Amino acid sequence: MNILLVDDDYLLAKGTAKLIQRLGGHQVQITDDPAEIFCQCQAGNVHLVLMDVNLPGAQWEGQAVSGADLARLLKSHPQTTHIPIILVTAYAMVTERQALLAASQADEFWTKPITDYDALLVAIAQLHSMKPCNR
Amino acid sequence: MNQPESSRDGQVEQSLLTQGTLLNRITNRIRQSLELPEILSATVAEMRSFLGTDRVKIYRFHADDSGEVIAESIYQQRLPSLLGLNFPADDIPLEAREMFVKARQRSIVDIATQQISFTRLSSLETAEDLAVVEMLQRPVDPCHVEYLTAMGVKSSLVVPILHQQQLWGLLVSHHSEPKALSEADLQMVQMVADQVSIAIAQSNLLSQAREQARREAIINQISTLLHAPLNIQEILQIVLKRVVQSVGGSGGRLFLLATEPTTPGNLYTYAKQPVLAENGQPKLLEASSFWQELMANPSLALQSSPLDVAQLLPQLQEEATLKSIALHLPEINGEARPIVYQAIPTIRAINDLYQEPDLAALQPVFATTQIRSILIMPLRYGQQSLGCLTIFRDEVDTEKLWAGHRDSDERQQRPRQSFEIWRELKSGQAQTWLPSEIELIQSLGTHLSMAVMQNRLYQCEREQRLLVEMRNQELHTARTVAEEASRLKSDFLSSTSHELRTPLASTLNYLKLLKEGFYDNEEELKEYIQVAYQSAENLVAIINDVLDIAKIEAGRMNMNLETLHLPTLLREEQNLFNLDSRRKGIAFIVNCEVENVDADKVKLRQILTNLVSNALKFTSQGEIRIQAVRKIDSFDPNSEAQVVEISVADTGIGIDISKRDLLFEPFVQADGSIKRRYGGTGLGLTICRRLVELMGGRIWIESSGKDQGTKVSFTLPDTNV
Repeated sequence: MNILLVDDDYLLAKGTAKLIQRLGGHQVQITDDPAEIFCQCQAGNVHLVLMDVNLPGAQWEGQAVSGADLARLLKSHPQTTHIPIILVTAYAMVTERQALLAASQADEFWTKPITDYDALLVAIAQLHSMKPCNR
Repeated sequence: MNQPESSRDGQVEQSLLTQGTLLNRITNRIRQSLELPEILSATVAEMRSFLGTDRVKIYRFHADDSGEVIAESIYQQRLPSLLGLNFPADDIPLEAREMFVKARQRSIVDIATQQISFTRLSSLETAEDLAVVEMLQRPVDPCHVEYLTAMGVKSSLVVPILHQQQLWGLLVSHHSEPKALSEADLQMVQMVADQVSIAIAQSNLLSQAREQARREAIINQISTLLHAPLNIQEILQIVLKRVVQSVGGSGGRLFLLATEPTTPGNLYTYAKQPVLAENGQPKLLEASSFWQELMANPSLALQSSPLDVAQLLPQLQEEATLKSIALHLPEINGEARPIVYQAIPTIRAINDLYQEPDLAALQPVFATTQIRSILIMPLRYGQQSLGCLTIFRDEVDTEKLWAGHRDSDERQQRPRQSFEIWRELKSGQAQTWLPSEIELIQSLGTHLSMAVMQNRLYQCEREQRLLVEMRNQELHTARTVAEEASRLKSDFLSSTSHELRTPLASTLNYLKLLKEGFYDNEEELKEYIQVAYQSAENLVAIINDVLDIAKIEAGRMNMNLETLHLPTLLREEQNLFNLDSRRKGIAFIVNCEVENVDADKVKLRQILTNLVSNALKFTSQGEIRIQAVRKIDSFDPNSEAQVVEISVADTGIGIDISKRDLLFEPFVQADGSIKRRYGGTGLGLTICRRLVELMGGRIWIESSGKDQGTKVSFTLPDTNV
């Protein structure tokens, strides 16, 4: 499975990517560039997106965007709407979780730090396998 | 009735015809006009021409049983005119007046035969059929003869005019010659007298209706005025004037008690006022005990002697009520008296103030004026006394025309010999308050009370509303502030959580990679350990900063101010960053013009370290310069106060000037994207500002823009002058 990991903290993302590769056997690509995200997703190279929310400096069409904005854009585009998105963020408040899920239309919400990678991998597998039903 | 002698039948026929015509004419007159004088003068003229006598007059009784000739018709001046002349009560004795009423007695006097005859109607119930049931004849009283003779009258006929079963007046026919009147004439006269009664009744109704209409018009006018969109002072002044004018007063005053017992009341005056002298008299008429008692207890108003208030006390069941009432009015008479209020205000009408014993003490204040009558209406609303309305009326000179001089000595014995006009002049007469005037003032006073009360309630309500509005405003502001504080707290908590979780996530990631043995070589192993360690260090830095802020917020950050040698401190700081700056190839210059400064050493170091590490972080080439000078506080131009200003300037990336204040907020960096490159907790400047402020200084950022460098300056109070 090809997973796109969106995070602005490269060192953190590198660790996460390595763990998912070694534990789940998935290919993980890291980026925080909105153009790259849309390019990869539209090309059909991406099976699932792990999306950080806080992306300082990220811009799309001249506007500052957050990971939640990017998730919503992907979900609203016909070519990319089928791609499962998991929000992975250090925002942990219950109210934030609800607001972000509603705003992003993402499928799941995980809080950093991820302490149970096995559970994350199960969730990833389930979302991937459910993909045809969603379409 | 001057008609040629013809057949008796013809005469009767003629007479009946004439009678019918006369009655018709008089009835028509009464129908056509509602003005009594007009009707009466027409009646006497018709009557005289019908009877053919020398004089027919209508005599009207006054309240004191004297009377006046109010209508008269005279044939060719054969008798002198009596119109407008008054006759004393004794001229028509009481018995005669009573008989006029009781038996509808008519008297016919014939001087020639010295006989007087009376015809009486059986009773009032059957009066309409005009049947003569009784006829008396007896010699006429010599006095009566003498009286008539003096008037030049040889024969007379007197028929009573009744109104509401009272003797209203007399229809009188006089003739200078003996004159026989037929039964038909008598009946005719009776019928006319009855018609006059009807006319009087109608006229009275009319004038009552007119009076009522006038009163209502005045009440309406004043009521409209009272609710006019003017300020209450203007309104009350105009209303007072109108009220005084409505009863022909010469002056008036409206006194309103103040709502606060300690302040004096409001007084409005119009036209003539008594002169309140300095010595002994109270400054205000209304402050005198007479007025005070009326205002305090209007039930006394109609009583001649004041009721002892103590007698009323047992009626008050609750002592509390008594207290609250008693507190309401200030002590005026120097004696504390519980004041008992009655619900219905009563008006006090004084016709002649010089006859009023209660006013004896106040008479001097009226002495220089012509005021003689006073009308006082206490103004009340429910249990509350609002003040009082006082109207003055001047004394007048009266002139009365009498038929002959009244000589009190002689008059009792024998009638006077002459009916020559006698002019009686009286000066300084009181103009009596009429019941209708009192009623009018009462109703105007009630309207006034209501308007005053309404205004008070309105004012009171408005004050309350303003107060409530102000409180609402305060509450709103307080709520906004509290909400803002709460939002900031919640934001801070959320950011803090986020900022702690991020390095923690990194630490855990790399520790897990190490634990699982997911490294390919020695180099990768070292790298993982390095990142995990660095992340944990970063975590500790953030935790320390957050704890610092929490401590400051909780007011538990203690400042240990001491005199520090600033050059030494700055040199130490320079040494701390020497290695880093040299490695980056950046010059580090310290320019200290200040020797000593009062500050907390640890905190000042913390501030400087923060600022210098920021400067170093955001500068890739050029220099970092610390400067310390003593100068006049530029933020307070009025003050001569000196401050120590320390600035840290760099030649780094600079900042967007619009974001400079934002930089002091927690977890904010000017450009979000710089965080990855430059690291840091995002709390440095926040802590710097709090610490500077705790030491009594200010901190600010200057920058000419992107890549133009940044200068952060702060001040410390200068206590070493």
